[in-house]
Amino acid sequence: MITPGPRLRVREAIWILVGGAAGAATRFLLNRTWPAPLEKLLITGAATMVTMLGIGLLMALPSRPGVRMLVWGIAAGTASVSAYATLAVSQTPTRAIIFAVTLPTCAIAGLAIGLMTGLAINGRPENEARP
Amino acid sequence: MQWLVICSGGALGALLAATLLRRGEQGADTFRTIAFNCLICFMAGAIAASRYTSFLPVGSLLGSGFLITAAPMASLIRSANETRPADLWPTVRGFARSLLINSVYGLASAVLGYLTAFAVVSIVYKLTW
Repeated sequence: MITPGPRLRVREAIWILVGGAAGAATRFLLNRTWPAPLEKLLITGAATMVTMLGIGLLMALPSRPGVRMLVWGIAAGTASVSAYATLAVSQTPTRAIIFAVTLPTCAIAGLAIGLMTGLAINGRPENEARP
Repeated sequence: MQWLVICSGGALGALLAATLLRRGEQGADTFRTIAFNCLICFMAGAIAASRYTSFLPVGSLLGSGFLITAAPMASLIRSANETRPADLWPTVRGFARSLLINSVYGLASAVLGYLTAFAVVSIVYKLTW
């Protein structure tokens, strides 16, 4: 999505700012709406999976740089290592272990499903040479 | 007002993460990435603990927003802009490995931050009591 290269352009930075704000607001809203631990686990797992699915789709399908930056910004809020770690350590030990195992699994599954779906939609031949 | 503060923090955190990624100082499997994520998780853990105390009430919302978006899982994906079928499983495997490493260190840092905040609050409370 974002790889090392030239500095961020103003337009890219704006999309990332908008996406980051939206992602943080989404996370805040989810935590406020479903405060119980089980609800948090389900909703955060679902949000992480959907986010990584979106990232996978964007990686496999051609898209505009603005859209990529916006989705990346939203993903920064809804699927982040720090939010996951904080959520896990705020729980009781058993729940913490469940959180610690479930959320990365959701992220990996979401990315795999998103990439597979995107590649299936895109329909590139398997042996196409890299430019 | 709370929303505005959270959104501002989130926007700044995402911009910082993206800037570091572009400069090559963030990314999958680098020492700097793990160290940066550990620092963010440590501070996030401390702020999470502060919610249960009266420690750091001001700025904790801004900090929460910033710290949530500053360590995105998406920054751990090592890939080109357009993935090809042959890259599918190496990309997923690489992401899983990076996420596992960052999760272990991140969780440990968050626990440390959480306990540090409680320790500081206890000491301050005893000194001022």
